[in-house]
Amino acid sequence: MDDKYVRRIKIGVVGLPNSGKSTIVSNLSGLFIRTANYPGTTVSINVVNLTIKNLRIQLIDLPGIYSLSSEMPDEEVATKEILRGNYDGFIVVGSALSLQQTIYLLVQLLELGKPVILALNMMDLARKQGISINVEAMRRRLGIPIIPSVAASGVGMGELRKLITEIAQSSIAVNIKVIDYGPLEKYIDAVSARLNAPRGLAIEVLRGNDLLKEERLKASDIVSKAIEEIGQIDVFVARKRWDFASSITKDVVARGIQVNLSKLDYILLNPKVGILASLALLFTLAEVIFLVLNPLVDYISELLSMIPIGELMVNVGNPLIQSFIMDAVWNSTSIVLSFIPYVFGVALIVAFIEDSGLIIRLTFPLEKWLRRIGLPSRGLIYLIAGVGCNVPATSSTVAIPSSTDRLITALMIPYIPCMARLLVISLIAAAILPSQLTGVVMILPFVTSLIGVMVMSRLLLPLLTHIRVKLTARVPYAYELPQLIIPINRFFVKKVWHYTYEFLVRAGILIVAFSALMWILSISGPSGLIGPEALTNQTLIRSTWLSLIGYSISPVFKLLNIPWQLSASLMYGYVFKEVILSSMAVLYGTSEEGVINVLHSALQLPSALALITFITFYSPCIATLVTEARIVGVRLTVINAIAQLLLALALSYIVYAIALLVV
Amino acid sequence: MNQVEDVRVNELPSGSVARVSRLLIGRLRDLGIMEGSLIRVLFSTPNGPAIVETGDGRPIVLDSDAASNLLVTPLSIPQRHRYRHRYGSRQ
Repeated sequence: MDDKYVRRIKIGVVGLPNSGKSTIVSNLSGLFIRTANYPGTTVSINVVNLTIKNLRIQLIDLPGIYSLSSEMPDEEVATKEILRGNYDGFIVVGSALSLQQTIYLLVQLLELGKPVILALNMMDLARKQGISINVEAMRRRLGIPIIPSVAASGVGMGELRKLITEIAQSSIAVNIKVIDYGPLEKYIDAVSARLNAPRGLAIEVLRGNDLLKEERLKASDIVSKAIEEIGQIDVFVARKRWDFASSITKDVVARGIQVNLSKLDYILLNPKVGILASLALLFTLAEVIFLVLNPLVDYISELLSMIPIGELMVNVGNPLIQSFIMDAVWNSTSIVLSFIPYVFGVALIVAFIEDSGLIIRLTFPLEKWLRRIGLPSRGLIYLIAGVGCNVPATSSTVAIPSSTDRLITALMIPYIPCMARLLVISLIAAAILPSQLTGVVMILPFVTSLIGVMVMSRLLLPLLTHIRVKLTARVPYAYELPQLIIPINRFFVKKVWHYTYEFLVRAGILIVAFSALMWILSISGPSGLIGPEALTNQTLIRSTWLSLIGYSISPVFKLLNIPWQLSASLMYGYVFKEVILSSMAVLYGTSEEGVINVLHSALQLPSALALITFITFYSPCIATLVTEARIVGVRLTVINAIAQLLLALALSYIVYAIALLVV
Repeated sequence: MNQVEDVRVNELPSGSVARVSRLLIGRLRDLGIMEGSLIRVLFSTPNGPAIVETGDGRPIVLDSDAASNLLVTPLSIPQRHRYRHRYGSRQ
């Protein structure tokens, strides 16, 4: 079937966390792989197939590791693959900013006896920091091909493709004995002979790698003798490897390595002022983005109003079809089109938070305080990543080793306003406030969600011990601080485009389909078909299914001065947040422009602020609920969903009361 | 006695220089923090997380647990904080 392919090879892409592995795989394959500037973005294996000439290559993008001894679940996935997977070779992705750390990992891959190519990434950032690496000298010392690369802009990718084909031709030299371990050598040889395993595996057995317990048992007599002679083998091996890495670095780095902290880092990471500085930076960014995008919103609205849809509909004879096209299809389509600037703005902010390294800067000053309410540092990273979308953030929690930490993080992520919720909130803010204040109001959902997380984690933590039988202890976490960068490169642009496109297509289909359903519910009732006139007649609409459902929950929101049409729309948000606005449009029988006008006239400032508070976390969407249930179980998911609703309601009442007093 | 006692790294104020005396978690070795190596505390909060700089200039983030499991011998402490670690930040 695949005769035209002469050979198939399997290459593992291994590297330090946050070194650009996924960006390189994305570059080589042309596929979009989610990347971000914080450790733990890739928590599972990504398999990408690639064809170069007549060679079929399977690239396996593995989670980042610092060594072959793993303590985190995602690292364990990677090390298991490296030690047990049948690979033809490895691409080690290193960082020019962390040369010693790169060599420390590289050595361990070389010792496995497979062909290795080193892609020394982030050469541009190293150059900016005044670091100059003599790559040729490094090639000579290590005896392997080394490619200086800048994955974000594609530098070095052509050469890397060429070298991958050389792995298939077995023309890449294998340098298995890079370090002389002195007194340990005889034991390495003995274990290697006993297990018929490569040198690297024998060293890992001697070091006591948890993944190789069976092998260690088979060579237990040799291991005991080695411990007797050398003492702590893992300390001995680590020291040898660091000494080697240090000696190579001294030889090949022409100019000194300096600390990777910028002046801004010293402000953002400061335990006292850091969090305020980070938030100020984010909201300035949000303000600027929304101010710049506002004229675009007006422009799109103008364009849409120029389309003579009413005149075109005159030719459609059947009033039911006419209403369907106008009220269900056209209104929802115009909403999707008018979303574009907002979706783009939110995508830009989310991508910036992910790629700039700001996530870590936000978590560090907050960690100590959130620890007190039971949230772990790694969980905090995923919590902030949840601003993009709750679904991948929740599924990433599998990488948290302690079950207590994993459960509490997965339970808290739905309290974080995702892109879809932020979009609805930004539209409400745009409707009730002057454009200059849109960004300021965006602070409200974050403050609300922080309160939500603080309250609920305190309440849910004791519950976990009652519900879950087995809770494991917390595992300490340490990682290299990613660089703070302004992520303006083609991958950032691609990411913003991908987020915007994905959201518009997914939300677009959903909104149009849901609007059609809502249209049916708004022209029919328990008595049967009422007809499209129900959409414009306030007496008739009372008899429709939509109105009956909406009215059933309206008393809860009456005290907040929120009209029943809006509270009914929120109910449909349980399906997907994207449909809240289209539900409003159908219930008010209006278009996109109409929704903003309706919100403007229907809501006073206190009610609007209460509505924003409620939307922040009153319910996750179905996709988040399913993912949450997979991690924490159905029972906890249901408890959490009910708790979210009650807390959102309580907080919206509090915000409403405060706003009434202040405004 | 003039002997300096070992302290947890998050008991030292920012700007301190210390020698690593004991690691209670092996992961730090893989990040270049070895027994006997010198580190500089870039940021620290009592009983909270810390960021330390390794010999080759890499900033390593330690969460509260990791920071509490890294014992160091202080070599130099900024003048204004000299006695901070003595005053009950330990729990």
